[in-house]
Amino acid sequence: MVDRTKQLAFYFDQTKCMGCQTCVVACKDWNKLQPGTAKLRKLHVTEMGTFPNVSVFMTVFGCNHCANPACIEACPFEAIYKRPEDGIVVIDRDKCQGNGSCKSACPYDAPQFPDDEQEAPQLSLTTPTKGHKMVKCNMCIDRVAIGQKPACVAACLTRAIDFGTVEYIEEKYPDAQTVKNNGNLVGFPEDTANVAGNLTEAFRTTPSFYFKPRHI
Amino acid sequence: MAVLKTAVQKLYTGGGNTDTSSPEAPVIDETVFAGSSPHNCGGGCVLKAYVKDGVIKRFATDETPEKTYVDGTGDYMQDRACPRCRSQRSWIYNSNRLMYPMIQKGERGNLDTFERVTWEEAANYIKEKADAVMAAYGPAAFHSIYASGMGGGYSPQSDLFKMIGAPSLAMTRTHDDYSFPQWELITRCMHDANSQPRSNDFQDVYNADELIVWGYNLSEMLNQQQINFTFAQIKEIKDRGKGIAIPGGKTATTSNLEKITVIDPKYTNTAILGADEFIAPIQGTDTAMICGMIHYILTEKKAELGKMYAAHAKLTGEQRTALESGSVDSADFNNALRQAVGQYVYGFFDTDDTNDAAAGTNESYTLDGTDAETFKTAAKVTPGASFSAYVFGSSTALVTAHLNKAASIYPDTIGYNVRSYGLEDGGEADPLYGKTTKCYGQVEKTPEWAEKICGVPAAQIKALADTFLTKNVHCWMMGGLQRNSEGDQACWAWTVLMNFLLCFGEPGRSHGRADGRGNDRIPSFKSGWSTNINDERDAEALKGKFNYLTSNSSGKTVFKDALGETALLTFPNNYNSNHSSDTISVFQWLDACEIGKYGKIDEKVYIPTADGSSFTEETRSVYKARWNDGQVKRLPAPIKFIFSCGGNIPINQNGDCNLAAEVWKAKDAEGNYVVSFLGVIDVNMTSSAQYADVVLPGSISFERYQSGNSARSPLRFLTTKAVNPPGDALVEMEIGAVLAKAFGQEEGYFNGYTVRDVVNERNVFEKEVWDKTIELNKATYGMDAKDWQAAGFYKPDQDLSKLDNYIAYEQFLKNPGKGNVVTAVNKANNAVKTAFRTLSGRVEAYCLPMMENYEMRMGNNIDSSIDLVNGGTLYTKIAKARKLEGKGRFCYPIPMYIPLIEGCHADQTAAPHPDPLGLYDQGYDCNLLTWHTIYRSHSTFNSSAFVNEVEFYKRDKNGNPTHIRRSITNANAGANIDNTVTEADTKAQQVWTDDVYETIWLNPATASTKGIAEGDVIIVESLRGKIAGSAHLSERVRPGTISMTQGSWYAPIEDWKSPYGTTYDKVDVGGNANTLFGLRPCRIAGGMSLASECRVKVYKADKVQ
Repeated sequence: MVDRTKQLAFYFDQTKCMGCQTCVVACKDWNKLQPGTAKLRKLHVTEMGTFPNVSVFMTVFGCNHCANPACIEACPFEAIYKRPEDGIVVIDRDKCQGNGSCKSACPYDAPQFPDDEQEAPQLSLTTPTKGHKMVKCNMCIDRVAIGQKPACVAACLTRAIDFGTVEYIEEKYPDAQTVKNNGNLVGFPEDTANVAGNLTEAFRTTPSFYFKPRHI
Repeated sequence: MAVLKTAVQKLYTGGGNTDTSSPEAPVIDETVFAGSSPHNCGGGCVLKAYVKDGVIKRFATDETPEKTYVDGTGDYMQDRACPRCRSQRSWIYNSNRLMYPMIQKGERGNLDTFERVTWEEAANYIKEKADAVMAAYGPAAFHSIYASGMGGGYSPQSDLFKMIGAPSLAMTRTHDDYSFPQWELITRCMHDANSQPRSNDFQDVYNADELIVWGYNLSEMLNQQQINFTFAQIKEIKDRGKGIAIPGGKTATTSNLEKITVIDPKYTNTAILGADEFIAPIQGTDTAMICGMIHYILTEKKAELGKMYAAHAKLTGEQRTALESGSVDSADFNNALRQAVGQYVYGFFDTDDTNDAAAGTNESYTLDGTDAETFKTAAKVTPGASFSAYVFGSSTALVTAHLNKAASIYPDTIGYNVRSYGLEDGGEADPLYGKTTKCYGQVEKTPEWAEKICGVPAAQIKALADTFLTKNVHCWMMGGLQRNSEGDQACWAWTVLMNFLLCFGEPGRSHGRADGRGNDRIPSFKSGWSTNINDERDAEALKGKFNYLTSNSSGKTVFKDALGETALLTFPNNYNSNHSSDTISVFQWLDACEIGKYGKIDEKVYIPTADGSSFTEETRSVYKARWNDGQVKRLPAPIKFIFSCGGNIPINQNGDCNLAAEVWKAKDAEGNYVVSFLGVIDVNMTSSAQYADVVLPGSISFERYQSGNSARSPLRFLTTKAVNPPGDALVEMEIGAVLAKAFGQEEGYFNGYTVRDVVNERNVFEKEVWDKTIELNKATYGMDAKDWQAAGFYKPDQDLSKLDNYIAYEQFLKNPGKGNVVTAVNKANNAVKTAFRTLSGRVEAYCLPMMENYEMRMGNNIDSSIDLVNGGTLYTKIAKARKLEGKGRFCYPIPMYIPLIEGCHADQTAAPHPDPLGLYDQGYDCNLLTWHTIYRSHSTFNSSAFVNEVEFYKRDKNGNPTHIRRSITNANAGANIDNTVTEADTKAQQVWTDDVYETIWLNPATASTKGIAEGDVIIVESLRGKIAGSAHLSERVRPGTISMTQGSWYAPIEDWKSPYGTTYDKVDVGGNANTLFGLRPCRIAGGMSLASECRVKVYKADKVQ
């Protein structure tokens, strides 16, 4: 377990999110992905009510760098790591064999596989397979390493996203909720289900994701 | 082989694989070029291009430390780029990019018959065409068309016309724009402003109890930088409750804000972001709602109205006592009220002897010998002619209440000032000729009446009125009221309402357009270069040849005859509204081309004698104009030559794309194009470029130096060129040099710099200019080339929260009445005293200049087929001279609720929509509403894949959520690519194809009645044509209203086969909303009417036609 003074987490204020997806575009651009089906960050939109009494809930996230990552559990090739210094979960594309178990296991659909239009098929000296390796949000470890914020945090037009250690977030946003504390964020997947909606056996990923929900 | 692990619950003990061989963070090794790359977005946000091997790899945005209201630290925001600029990598590197100059060798619009030419060949071709047009038609045939796609950097467009030798003032020019044509005309006549009224500063919102955002989708249109963060902060502070400390302390010390209301026909992202209350009048019915509010106030809330005036208006002691008394039926109360309102809004009530006529009494105007007494008589608001009389219709309630002298003189119906003649010989009149619609002059406009029209419950209408009466309101207004055929009325009525409610002039009380004062606080930027091309060099020869030319007092060549009947004006020449007598509305440029097809007709006009006692009948030989605009009819020549740099108006961004395509393709009897020439500079093969005769490839973001400033924050950007434009494309500064060479105007173009062969010596001239520019500004800005590249911006540390709050119309509130003093704010942020620029010195609900300006432009305003009611009369000089003061008008001196031609009402049974074109019976049962998406800037970024793939719910023909696919229809497919760019980086970003459709939003109830499901490919059809789209069902749109974004590129396919196998003639698969909208200009201003008026049919693309 990476302790709260080190584990980096995201804070998302749903009351300030208008679903512009500047973060989605900034993320994809920063990671040098081409347009295509693989998306490192995704927006989920939920509407309630009937015109004109409508409520709309925007929820956007990439990888939640979970305390207990389902992807690491699932990967047969031990290609995914949780960094001890900051809890960021990263993929080693050299070890990745494009198996896809991670994508099935993750409730948040964080692992992505680019298609041929997004990148050239990846070859590696250490693996015999061709094809595309997993890519996902890595909390912009290159930017974080030089004291910058992840691209999504730095991009958000309404400053609805923040990031920092768990300690920093819990101090700055004392009312912030988490899934672990039974917080409810409309549009955010259940912690125990994988992306196909199958319940695993009481597995808790415990995402490093804090939020302020819009009231229903 | 690794062991497959099963997912079981386990205590996470050691953290997966913490092997020290875990991947290192990649090193960021690109070179950073900071700057900005705005387009027609009102922005100028920070972009940093990360460049390696001559290619932009990715972008970042502003990361300087910021001060915010929510953190309590101040107001100095990061200028973060929106998703459009963040998508620029897929915009710049795009297979649709134009690589070399091309000339159309076949039929206009045919992508396959463009041929590659050299720069010299293209420039010489332009000169050949220009010379031919000049020789045949003279300078009036040249038009420098509206083009706003380049947000910074030099555009050679206007210089080209100087090179051609067309005197600037003798070309066909326009007086407005596509953004605010109604506002620009309306307030010039009835208010002090030149567009929307000026609002108090942003920060003043915290002084208000409520913020109302009306007709302004700030979240998505992003009219200026950081409007979203401004709004998000306002919302957060409001959520924390009243009394929150506001940093800076000059605008407000603590926040009073308790509520945000959004008024919009659709539940926009602005509503999502901030609305505590959402009020949804049907598009085009706001004026009805406003009338309902006024009726309610004058019937049930006079006591509150009196108290409000007592608290805020300038009053005598007796007036204040009377208004505070609450004796709403007493003569004292009502006299005081009428006088008090009359100080601020002229013509809200009928004139009486104590409320003098005021016209001609603003001393800032010179009367040019006209009799001031005549004005006072002329502008009197005769009994029953006031705006409140109109609101109450045939009811005499206001007469009983001592407020008015008679019930409304206004008729129930109003006609259309349209052509009675056919365009072709034997053709038909305008379909609206002889038709009328309702203007409800005799109808009492209660909130219950308004509800049936606008769909807003009467209780909500009343509550909105109560809010203005009892709270301090800060009301933001942008463009939403305008974009239809009766938008003028809504802008006018809203401005009257806001001033009647004294929603201005004090902290926390404000209405209008909130803009920042950033520009005022930036040192002026010196350009290192200017051109000096003499456009008057052939003036004598031209005046000798074309008798429509003459010289003005400054020696410049101008039209001899005004575009309009200026003899109908009785108001001073320097009156603000008289500005439009030598230009046409930009929305009518296509009509000004089309007149070249149809020839002329003789028309009678009636001109009053100088003393107004009589009139003469004169004959004018005028063009047959589709929309019967008097100014287009009086043009000396049709437009024959258009050049556009970075604009998509020629086809895409006007209305009725199918008609535009027809006009561009039209030929005369000799087989020559009616419109001789279209030339385009662009970076993509847009739909306009497709119809051009010459296409020149220019540069895009970071491929050129550019500089500009921003509206909100005080900042100046200077973008350092990071990469070269691809292929044979040139930066625009060098394109201008190529053109100058062809026209023999190099000396004036280079203007002191060495004349160069820019095609063979690329970027040298550009670099010289920018080196000089940076040098010239070094002292004031303190930045050299390295500083500009690293920072991109000059952004002084100016915490906006420390600025004094600018209160708009503060002096007008304190000293109302005739010719009074209001403060404006100049660049140095000093107060400047100017008079409130109407002749009455106040806001005009009854505005004689509105009628006269209309008469001047249109030639006639009298509709003899309609009589005013109860013997009422309305003066204009010509109406009196012709003894027709008792007749109806097309433009009245008061605002009115007039239903849109292609509009709808909420309750079709109780308040049936007039439908003068009989569209209901033809099956057009839905209404189209468009909005400005955040994923395009008008039609810019349509080719940018990153934003297309996030635009909600776009699907391909298989119904899959989509990203873009490769185009194979583009002539440039496989074109040479600059070989410094790697294949991976130019992997086709694809152009729009018929595989992917624009999203069309429908309410689920509407979709259900038509058997349409989510993701279905559907056709939307109007009188003008058909588009294909992909259905998205949402409760955010009203049942019966179809909604989509504007700006997609027109791509018509004849005999289009839908994915379901059904064939349709001519469908625009690009999904341009302008294929559906018409070109009929709005009633008063004659300007843009696109966006909120269009009746449509909607059906799944499997229905047989």
